[in-house]
Amino acid sequence: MAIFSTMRSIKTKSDITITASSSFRFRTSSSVETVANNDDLLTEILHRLPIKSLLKFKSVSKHWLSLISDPYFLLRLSPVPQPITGLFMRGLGSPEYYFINLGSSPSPAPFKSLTFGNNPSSDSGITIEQSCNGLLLCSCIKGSAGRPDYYVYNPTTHQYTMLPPPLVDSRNSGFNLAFDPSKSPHYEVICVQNCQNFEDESYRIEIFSSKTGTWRLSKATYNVPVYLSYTFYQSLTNGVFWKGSIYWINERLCFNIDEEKMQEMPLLPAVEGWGVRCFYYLGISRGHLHLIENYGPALFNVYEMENDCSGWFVKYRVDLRQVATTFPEMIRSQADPEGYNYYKISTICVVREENEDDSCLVVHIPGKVIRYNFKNRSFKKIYDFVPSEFEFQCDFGDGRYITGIEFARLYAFQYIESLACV
Amino acid sequence: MSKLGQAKRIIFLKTADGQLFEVDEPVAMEFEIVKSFFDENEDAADDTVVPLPNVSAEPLAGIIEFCKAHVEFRANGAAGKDEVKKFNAEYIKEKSNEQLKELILAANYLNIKEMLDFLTETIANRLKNKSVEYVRAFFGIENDFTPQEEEAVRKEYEWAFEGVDED
Repeated sequence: MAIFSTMRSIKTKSDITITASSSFRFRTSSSVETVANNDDLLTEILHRLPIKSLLKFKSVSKHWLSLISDPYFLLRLSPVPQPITGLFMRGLGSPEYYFINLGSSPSPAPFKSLTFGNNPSSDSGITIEQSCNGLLLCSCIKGSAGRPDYYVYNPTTHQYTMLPPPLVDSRNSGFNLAFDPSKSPHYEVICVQNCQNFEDESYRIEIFSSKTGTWRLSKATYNVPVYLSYTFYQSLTNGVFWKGSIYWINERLCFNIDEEKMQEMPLLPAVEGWGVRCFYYLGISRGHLHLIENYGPALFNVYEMENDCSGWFVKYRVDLRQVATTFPEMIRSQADPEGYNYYKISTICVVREENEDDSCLVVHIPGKVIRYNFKNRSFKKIYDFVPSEFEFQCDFGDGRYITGIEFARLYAFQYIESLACV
Repeated sequence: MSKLGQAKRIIFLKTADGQLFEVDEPVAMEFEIVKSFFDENEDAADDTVVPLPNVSAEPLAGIIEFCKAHVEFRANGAAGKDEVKKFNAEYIKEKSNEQLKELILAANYLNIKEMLDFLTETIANRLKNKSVEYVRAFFGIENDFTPQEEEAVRKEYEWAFEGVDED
């Protein structure tokens, strides 16, 4: 039997011995190889750890700290699509946020209230404006005049940065965060400004890039209908970022950031006999853009945008009237049972899961949050609101009182774990 | 690759500690390093012994066991099914941390993608809920932070330290 390592009997086509072949080598390490000093292996292992473990393991050693903090490591870390770990919901008249856990294992609330930055009055507090793939856009009103300060905050790492003022620092500006960690470690902020102050343009858009740290004026133009012009910026705020464009539900517009082009959002499929239509949710889950239409008491259509952004299709039909038999507090008994407002109900998040059978709708009803499974139509309570001492209360003086969370449509912001730098 | 009616080709592998392994060709071809050796040396004699100077006999035996089972799963169309998950779970159950580290180094050297994926996932699962001290011991890493530095890093992510499993 020929023993290769003796190099006697093996010849390559070019008649040189294997060990001399430049493209092929059996390496022998001089020192004992360990997993700990093989960065390729370590990185592979680290990429499979949850974000929480990674933050914990930053304190293993200086080498691990630098591995886990490396921007290229972070870029590769972003699996798309990312699961939603939880939702932040702000109570009325309270600086505190409720944290509704959506993950498979319980995860502690990353914060109770936002207190970063140089804000002397932590009472007025910092408010979440928008959540985008792990980063939050937050605002903080300083006194009565002027534009609020805007921050980009990573709730996982608690890092934050204050945005510099736009080129034209107008109070009438709508801010929108655009961040896609699968494409770039950098984010952009799109600022839509009131057209009233500008003679030639109907409105103006500025784009901030975290890569350069500066604002620039976009070349985009769009003729705003006159009736909207005064408050146009208010409608074009906190848009939903999906596939390179920001979508605004109110104006049915979308802005393609790369092309700097404002476009009409594709219309929903027409339904005969439906004149006025009621949409009030636009959101992303696992890379899908969803829109919810309320077409009757506790009746909803969940639409999904086609992957090529060409139009909407009905993804789920949801009938939540069953839920009211378990939670009768949802019913406004004085209201018309045929009317839209017969139920106190607010659909706050469409959650797509890896296994489609587990996808669900998160619904806010008085005092509770429930999770409704699209496929098997089962539902369960996942959160009980406990009114805090900060809670807005309205006392009727006869023993009845309502608290802020009894029923009001509260905004819910997605918490997606991220190590992205801000 | 062997076909029906043809004699099964055997590949000879020699480990760092001098042991000779006879492996069925489809199993040996799971090792990228062996496969590319034969790709680049088409004239290599059938009885060529491929030296594996970075792998010793114990992990190689474990790797052959794993690859053999997975080659069979694929041949039977069982890939991705519960049967495979069951095998993987059984396979890893009795392995100590030391054995796991030897296996992953060997699988890395032999460049076996499927097994590497499985082993990295397994190690990550063993570590994710453990303490920092456990991880240091697992990899034999020395803590090179000063107590003040370590305190500062820990403090920044205090919440991440909640719910740590016992070592």
